Amino acid sequence: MILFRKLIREMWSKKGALLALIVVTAVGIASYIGFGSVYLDLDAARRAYFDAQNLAHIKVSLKRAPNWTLEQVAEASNIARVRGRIKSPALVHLKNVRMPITGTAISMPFERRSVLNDVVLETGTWFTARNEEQAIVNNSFAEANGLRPGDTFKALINGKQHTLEVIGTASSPEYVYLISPDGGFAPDPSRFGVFYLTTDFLADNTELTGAYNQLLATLRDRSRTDITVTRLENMLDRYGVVDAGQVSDEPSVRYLLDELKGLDISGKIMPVIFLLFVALILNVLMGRYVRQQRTVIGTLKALGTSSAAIALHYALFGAIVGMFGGLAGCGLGYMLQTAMLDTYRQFYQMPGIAATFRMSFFTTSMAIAVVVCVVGSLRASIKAAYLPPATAMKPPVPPAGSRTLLERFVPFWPRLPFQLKMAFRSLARNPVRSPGSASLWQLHR
Amino acid sequence: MTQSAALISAKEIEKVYRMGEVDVFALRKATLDIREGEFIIVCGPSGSGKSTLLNIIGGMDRPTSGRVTFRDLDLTQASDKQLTRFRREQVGFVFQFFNLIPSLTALENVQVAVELSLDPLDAHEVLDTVGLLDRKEHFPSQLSGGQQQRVAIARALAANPALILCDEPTGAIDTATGKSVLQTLFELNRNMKKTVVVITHDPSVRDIAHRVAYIQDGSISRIVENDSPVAPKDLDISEGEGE
Repeated sequence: MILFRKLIREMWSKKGALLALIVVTAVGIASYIGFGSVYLDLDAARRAYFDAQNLAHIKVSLKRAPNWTLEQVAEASNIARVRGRIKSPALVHLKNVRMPITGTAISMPFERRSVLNDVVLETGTWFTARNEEQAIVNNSFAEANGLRPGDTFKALINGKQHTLEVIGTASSPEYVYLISPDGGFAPDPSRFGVFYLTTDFLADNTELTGAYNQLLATLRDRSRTDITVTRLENMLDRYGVVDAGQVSDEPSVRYLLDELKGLDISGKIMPVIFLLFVALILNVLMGRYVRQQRTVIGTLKALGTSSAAIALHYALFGAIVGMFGGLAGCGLGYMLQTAMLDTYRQFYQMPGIAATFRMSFFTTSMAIAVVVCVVGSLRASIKAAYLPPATAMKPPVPPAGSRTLLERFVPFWPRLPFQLKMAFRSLARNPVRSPGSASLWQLHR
Repeated sequence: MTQSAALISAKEIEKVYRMGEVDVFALRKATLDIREGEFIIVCGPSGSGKSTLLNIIGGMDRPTSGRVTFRDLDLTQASDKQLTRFRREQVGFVFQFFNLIPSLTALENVQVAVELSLDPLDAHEVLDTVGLLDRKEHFPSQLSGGQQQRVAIARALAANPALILCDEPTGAIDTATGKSVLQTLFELNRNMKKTVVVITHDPSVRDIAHRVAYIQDGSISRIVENDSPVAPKDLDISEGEGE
């Protein structure tokens, strides 16, 4: 108990260095919890959204395929569900926007029923007429351009201009992050107009009556995606296959998946970097601390303190740093999680983005922080434990002095001032640490 | 002093340090019995091996050859764990440079030993014995050399050991303070019946002990008995005698 008091006082006297270590530990743990949780939360929201709206696994774009081919495709092996739809490029003219906006018109059945790549109606109503100039507009695009149900806009589809009435707005798992397919790194929901028309209306105006130009399908076995895509391409070859592949390769979907992958990686790499740094610094710090405490260790041993108690004493130093770092990291991590999700909620048109409190993350984090810090102080602790008491009482043996390789090759070595000799010798004796600290120092300046 | 049984018996102990190519003998066939309840001074010039002898007697170090026994315990055959227990329960060390733990107060330094012991004395009482109860909240840096050494003696005493081993206890303090430190040790021996071994290079304090063992070149050269020890406070230590 008294030794614990000693430890706390000595830690307090090193509070500056320890605070820095605690902060770095906390940042490492926060990145683990923050990025890891955001990844899980966003991915859960994505999965739920994709499942609820039946996002297709694969798509085949063609020139024109008659609807009866859908039955054939549905019979093909590994196909769970199919849908043929019409997807047509469009130019959108808005009253208050000077330049025409690139857009995409997509067919939706007049009757409200569950289909692949379904949408979520956000405002307004579903179509009220089978073949009229009614449009359901992508919610982000509508919001960015101030379009509301009841407004009208002009759209050029297949060379013909239509005045479309906004009857509702909707969001879709295909366009969580509205990126124009023909470019731009950054999404700009005001510059990419996605809107939905009834199948009849769009078919009649794109000369695709009784046909479709994009096939969507879900698969039974996703591991056989490539084979299935190739088979469908062959099957539909005569209808002019333009493009075939996974829906996850669509820019908007791809962007979301890449972001998720990035979060997952950050949540694994960043903590490793920060915690490795903490362990290394603790290793140096504790080594120095134990060297300073030689006679104290010797005295404690003379008094009859066991080697295990001494090792524990110094390992506890690391454990306490880890505990504080872990606790701070847990708090910081949860803050990071909620803050990041708030940001994602603003930019992603996806329901169900919510912070989940995962106790296991926090307990694992505490364990990781403590273990890393104890491992960082392990070498010094074991050294302290193995110090024979009689040896510990004596001053340390001076470090072995020897000529470095450098001075054997430099002819003017004897003429160097002794300060430079000392500097060169210690440089040569720490071949790894010296350039490391020198470069850190340079960065710091 | 009546002849009593040997508390510690060191027989023909040798300690050899291997320094590169040469063997350095710190102890050569040193033989010494320490009797229960005596105050014994081991006196010799620096480099004579007296600290090595003390370390071996105190279970801090092992001899290269020879045999050391404490009552029935063979220290030369004991495991590290047994030696740790021996130090904890039977030995109190007092060092030349006090070796108090700087981050602990006087009282807490004593309590370190109290916590380790199975049969400790009261930390406050022990501090009172050495006359430092009013300084119990002081840190070592706030105490004079003599005060620090008295705290160290209190610490050595607190575990209630049979044996108190002192390695040059007055080596780092002035003569007058040294005298008061020796007086404290003298009283521990007389009033509390502790066996006290004091190592010194200063022969001027020889009269305070029951016996003085002279050590030269790693072996005990002669042992002088003293039937009527003088209390250190009554001792006339002339400055400059010694080394």
